[in-house]
Amino acid sequence: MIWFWLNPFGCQTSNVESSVNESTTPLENLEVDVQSNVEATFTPEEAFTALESLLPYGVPNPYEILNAYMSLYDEGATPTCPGTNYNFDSPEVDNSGCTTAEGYLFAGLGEVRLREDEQDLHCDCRIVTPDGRMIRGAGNVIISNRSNEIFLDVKGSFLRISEDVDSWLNQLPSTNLTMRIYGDAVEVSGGYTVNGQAVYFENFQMTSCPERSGTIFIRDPSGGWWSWNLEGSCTTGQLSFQEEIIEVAYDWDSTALDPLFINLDALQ
Amino acid sequence: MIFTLVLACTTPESTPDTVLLSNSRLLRRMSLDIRGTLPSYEEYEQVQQNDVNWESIAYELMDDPNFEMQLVHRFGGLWHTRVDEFDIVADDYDLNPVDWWFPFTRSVGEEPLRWMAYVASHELSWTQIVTSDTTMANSVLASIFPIEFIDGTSNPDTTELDYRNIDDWKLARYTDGRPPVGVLSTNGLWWRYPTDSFNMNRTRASMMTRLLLCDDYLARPIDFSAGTDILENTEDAIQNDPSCLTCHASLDPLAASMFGFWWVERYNPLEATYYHPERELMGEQMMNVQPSWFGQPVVGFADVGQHIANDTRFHQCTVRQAGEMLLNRPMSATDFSLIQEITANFTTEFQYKKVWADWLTSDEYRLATASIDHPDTRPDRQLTPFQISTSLSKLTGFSWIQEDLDLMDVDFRTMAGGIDGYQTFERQHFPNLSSTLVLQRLVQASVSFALTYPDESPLFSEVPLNSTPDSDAGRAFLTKFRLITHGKSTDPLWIEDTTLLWYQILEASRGDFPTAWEVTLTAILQDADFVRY
Repeated sequence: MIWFWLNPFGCQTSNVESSVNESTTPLENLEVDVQSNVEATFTPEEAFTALESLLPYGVPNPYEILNAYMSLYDEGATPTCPGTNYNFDSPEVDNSGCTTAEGYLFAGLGEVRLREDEQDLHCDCRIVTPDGRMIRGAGNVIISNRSNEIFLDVKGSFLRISEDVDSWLNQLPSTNLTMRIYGDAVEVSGGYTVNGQAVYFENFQMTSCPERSGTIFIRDPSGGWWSWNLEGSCTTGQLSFQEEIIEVAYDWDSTALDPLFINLDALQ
Repeated sequence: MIFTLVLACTTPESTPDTVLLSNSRLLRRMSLDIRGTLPSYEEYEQVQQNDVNWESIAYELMDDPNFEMQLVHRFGGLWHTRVDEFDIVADDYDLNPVDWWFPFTRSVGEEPLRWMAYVASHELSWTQIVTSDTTMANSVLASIFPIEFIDGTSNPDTTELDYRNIDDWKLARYTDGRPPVGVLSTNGLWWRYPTDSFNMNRTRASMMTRLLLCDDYLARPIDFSAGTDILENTEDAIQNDPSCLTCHASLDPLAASMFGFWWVERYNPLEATYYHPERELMGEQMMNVQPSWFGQPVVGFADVGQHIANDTRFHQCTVRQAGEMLLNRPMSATDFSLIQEITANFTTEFQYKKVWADWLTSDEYRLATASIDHPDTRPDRQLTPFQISTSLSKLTGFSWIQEDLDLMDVDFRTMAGGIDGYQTFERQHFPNLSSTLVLQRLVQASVSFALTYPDESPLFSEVPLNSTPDSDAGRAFLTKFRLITHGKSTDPLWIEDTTLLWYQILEASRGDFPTAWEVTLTAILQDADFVRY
């Protein structure tokens, strides 16, 4: 496949020459509103390979963060360092932290609210065990379970140091991700970055095939974004770069995402 | 009045309305503005004829390595990133807060300034300050930020760092996927201009347009006829109320493009150290506007850098800011023609040195009195703390260091007339009690050091300690000293006054020649002719 980008410094409409799938619509017939000066580094195939590189790590979710936090808290916390009820509420703990007699460090501010239908964690905090395991965070997570609908929200940056090195949480993820689980469907909004690769979902409805819709954005190393928009299909969507249509029917099997989202509530 | 550029080898003459600097005094002004130091005796000698090619001299001075550091301070005066404290502190990275607080904040604060100074002094296209993926880093930044050195040098570990050595700046680039937007991609800039969940990058967008386009949203007229329910329905008002749209129509779309730098936790290094690519697309959703650059839609912040580079307001603003730095006054409508002329020269190759050369060789730069068009401005400048410090250090070999910190940059910077970036935003234009006291103490220490260790200072090794000032040796030395430090030739009255002072001190010190010389030279270096330029 030969394709290259020609968009010189300026504001004229980009000329894109692309030898792509048979179903490609002639580009001269397409109207675009945005002229971007950013040139793609990835080819379309490389963009989806980048997306697939994220899949083995799993998707950022509040369960793993909350579990890691509460687990280490249970393991090392004392009433004076850092406090009680999963909170850092003792006078001894501050930004520099306090250390228990067993050698657990608690630093910053950690707050947990556990209610019947909602669990929240605000962590601007760090817990370090004597043997070097750690959970560190700068953000918030919410787990809400109401009216047969589970709402999951993860915002911020988190890092776990543990034996499980292949988890997303051990890769210093940056997230702003919201998931709504109802029945067999998951609605995903927002995105995350793991190991420098970012992905973003815009109203992505993970319903059973072929009733799937929404847009997946994949970040290009140039700083631009590829977008793949599905409308009632699990495999064929319109592919654009910086909102400029590259292929009206680009194929990728979105069911590869299913294992990440479908059983999220089983993690609780 | 339209100023014309002095591009040839002519020397303009004073008129009844204006007084021009002498060649020596002009050279002194240029040298201090460009290098931050005084000219050498030999350099003064080269401008004693009538026909001097000042453009050539300006370029020669700008080839001096000190030009780059002087620009760091000059740009710092505009961008205000050289502050003494950020929300994130040294011990967030396990650096000893006692040793590191100042070297840490200096390193972070100078990050954007160093890149601009490098682009300017190394004659790269000025547009690279907003389009390049390259920036500058020293060993501190390379050890704590996701940065790699361009030359392939490995990043040091924080345990290898020496807080006394932070001047090892090199070309570098971020590795966390942030867009290639030059200074706009640096942590140092966004740490200085943080935002939060309510402000949503608007402060940052406003700062960008003020500094890069000379378009200050805070200076726009406000229509107070906004609806009475504006506080209850802020989001709606911002998008629909004409009073709000005056600013928010263009401010919010720009702010919406900057969410990759938006932090969930403002005070946590985990958030503030790294770029957040996945948040770039949040702006449209959170602010309910399509990201754009003054009406032109953009997809991401990388596009914004390109738009700035192509924006004629950016080019004009660069010229205007340089003019304000070098003419020591705000630009006004009467400067329009000259700004246009210099901008036209600048935009052929986008060489920042060309902008400076044009202002430095303008008629007004040479004025010793206020210009006819700007009678309310004082043409002479007061030395900044950096200029005082570097000038005296070069002259005497003395550096005012205590516990490894440069006191003129730490404790006494603001007292001496400098800015701190948080409380004081503009250099002091006139001496006051505190700046005079700081100068006195620094000059006393400098002269004392130079006379004690003459090997460190060639000029002070020539002081005729066993002669009187009215001897041939004494008079020859004073003539040279006066030229170097004041940029002026000696005249009988000045010699008479200085000699009288010397003898008064001699008497007070019971005939101690070295003390008489030390105090006399200390007085000369506190004279208005030294402090002003």
